[in-house]
Amino acid sequence: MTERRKTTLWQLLGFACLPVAALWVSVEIVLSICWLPSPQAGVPPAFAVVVKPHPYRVYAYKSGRTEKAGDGVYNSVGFRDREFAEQKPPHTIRIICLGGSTTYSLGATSNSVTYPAYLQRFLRQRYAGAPFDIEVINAGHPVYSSLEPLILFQTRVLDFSPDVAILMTGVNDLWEALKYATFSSDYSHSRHTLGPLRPAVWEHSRLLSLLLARATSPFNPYRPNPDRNLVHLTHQPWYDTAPSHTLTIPLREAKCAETVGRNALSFVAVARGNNVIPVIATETFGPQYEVFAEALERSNETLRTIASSQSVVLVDVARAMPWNAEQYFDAVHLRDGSETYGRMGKLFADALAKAGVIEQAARNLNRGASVH
Amino acid sequence: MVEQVPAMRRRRRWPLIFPAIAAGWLLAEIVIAAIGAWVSPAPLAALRRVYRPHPYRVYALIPGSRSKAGHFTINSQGFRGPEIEPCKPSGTVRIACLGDSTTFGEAATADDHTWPARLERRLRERYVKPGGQLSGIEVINAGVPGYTSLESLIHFETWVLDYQPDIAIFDHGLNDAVFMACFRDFSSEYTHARKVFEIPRPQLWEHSLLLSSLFPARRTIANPYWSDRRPSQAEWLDRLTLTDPQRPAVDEAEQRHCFRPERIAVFARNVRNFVFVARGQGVVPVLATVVYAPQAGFFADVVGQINESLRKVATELSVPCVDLAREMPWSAEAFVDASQPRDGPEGLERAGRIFADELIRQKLVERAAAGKPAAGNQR
Repeated sequence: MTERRKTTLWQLLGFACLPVAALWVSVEIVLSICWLPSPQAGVPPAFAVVVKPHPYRVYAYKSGRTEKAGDGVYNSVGFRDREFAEQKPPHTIRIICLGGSTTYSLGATSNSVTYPAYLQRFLRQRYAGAPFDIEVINAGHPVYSSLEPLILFQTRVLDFSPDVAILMTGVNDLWEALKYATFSSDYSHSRHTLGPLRPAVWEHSRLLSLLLARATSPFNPYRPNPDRNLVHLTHQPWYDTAPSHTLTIPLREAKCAETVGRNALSFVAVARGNNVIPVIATETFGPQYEVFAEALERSNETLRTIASSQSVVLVDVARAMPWNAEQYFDAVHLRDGSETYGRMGKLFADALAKAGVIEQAARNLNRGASVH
Repeated sequence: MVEQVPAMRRRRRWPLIFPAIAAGWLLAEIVIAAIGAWVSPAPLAALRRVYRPHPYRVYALIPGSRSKAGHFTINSQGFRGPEIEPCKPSGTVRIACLGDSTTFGEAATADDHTWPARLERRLRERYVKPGGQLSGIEVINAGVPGYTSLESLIHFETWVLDYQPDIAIFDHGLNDAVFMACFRDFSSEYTHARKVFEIPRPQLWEHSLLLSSLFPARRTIANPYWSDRRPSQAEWLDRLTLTDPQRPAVDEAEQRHCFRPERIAVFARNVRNFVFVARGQGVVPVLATVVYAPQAGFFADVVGQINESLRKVATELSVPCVDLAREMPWSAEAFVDASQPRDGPEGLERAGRIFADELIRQKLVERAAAGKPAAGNQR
């Protein structure tokens, strides 16, 4: 007869760990064999074809690439536009349009039907007999807030000797202000440079990714998210709904408007310092998203104040083209067509002509020519 | 029967192997940590403690961090030195100093030894008196090691401006010279030299001291405990933020081959834009030249040309200029290396005095206190 010894806690622990670990490994192996989605590391291929990380402005378009759908074609500078000479041709007024997706003209099905393309067409028609040519360049990048166009303007656009620079901004700054619990005016709380997607540690497990599907981030390597877009690729994870601290929303709106105002003021100062005529434009937001629409109106109001105090030409898109379901395909972006982007191009052309911007640019051009 | 007992005991005990291994492992980790306490964390780990990636200016100082040796502390706003109120107190003149490692004070052994701290002391001695017009003078050290004129411009317009400085000093040229003289390609947005700051992450197993010490050959450069090659923090910064980290070390012949004088126009453009932004935001800009050891040969010539372009911008735009390169020429007594002033009366103390004297001579503090723009700001 042998004496039966009592099982200790350590032994129980050992007995429990072994099968659990073995089971886990087996399930992971089975899932890796049977579960078809393969891991995706880095930037999804569809984006990797056209965009690249940029150390100073989050991302930039690769030169000479075409979007998969064929609607966006990027020139050698990385702008959604035709090729243009870096050195401005003589007797040419060069207008640069800076901003986010509204300037880029998301929804326009080709480069020739964006708002800057329409603006060029209308201005050329209007100044057909003038002794100068007019060239409009689309330097808009989706997701760019008021910060990136300022940096793009200072570091690259000035190389192209623009005569007029239009900044249309406000919408993308709302995301930084309203989707995060904290706010930093350099947007380091929300933005990150376009880079490899970083899943949480537990998301490297196929089993956990399967079991906790609802908790996976957009960066989960095993559950490719078809809706993942440039916003995901350039932002820290955000709240799906606006932060519940409703009391802070007015504060967030104020900070957002302050930041947009600060950046717009810097843009005006840099433009004038470099003999470029600055033009500021407001943006529109669908009223169905009340918090966003109100916050944007506050930023728009700041832009109007700056335009007034600095004697800068303002194109008030928010008032001239209020949101309606026929013209906008979402809260912000116009549908493709002459009634939408064409109308916006005309709005800008009329505003520039009415304010005498082209005439002033022509005078500057002549002054420059006589100096040289 | 007699032989079965040990066999059964063995069978009963085998599950103990897991807890035993876990306990043994833990013990080994503790022992190695205790024995290896003298092993300082690898430079990359030290770097990670102080720097973080930044979406607009490549990298930034981590608020609230400090060097292991305690030489410097970063306040909650990301500036070297003591905390400052986000909202400027009334009656206070605030001066922001933008620059690279010389402004940050890499050679300063304490936060109050940097030239901005010494500048603050001298200005306070002069202006802050009981019953006087000014209740305080604050100098913000917004220098970040490795920054060029472009990063400081972005730093200024996206962050420093929020602290309502009255005067902003812009002290740059050394790192711009590296970008201009050491790289064959050149881009006006400095992307020929700068890349996105990505701190390599150690592999999961490398977090274990035991495994890291057992498998030295498998350790990556991101290992938090050991680094096979031990570059300095500055070299690590180069490695993580430059497209080709070897380029700053190229010889003089290669520098001559790479450098084109027209590249300096980009530096001048950044300086001009700083002046425009400052004035547009109601801040008085002040420019400063940089010092470099003349025996550096061609590179010192490039720095000289950069200084000359800065002087031209200062004259053209009527901006006060602190000509440190002329006021404080390089000497072995005053500098620890080719560009860093020594922590002492001949080095950082003297630099602080030169800045203070120029600000006093130009009456910039009085004007800021009275709310009057400086001469060039009247536009």
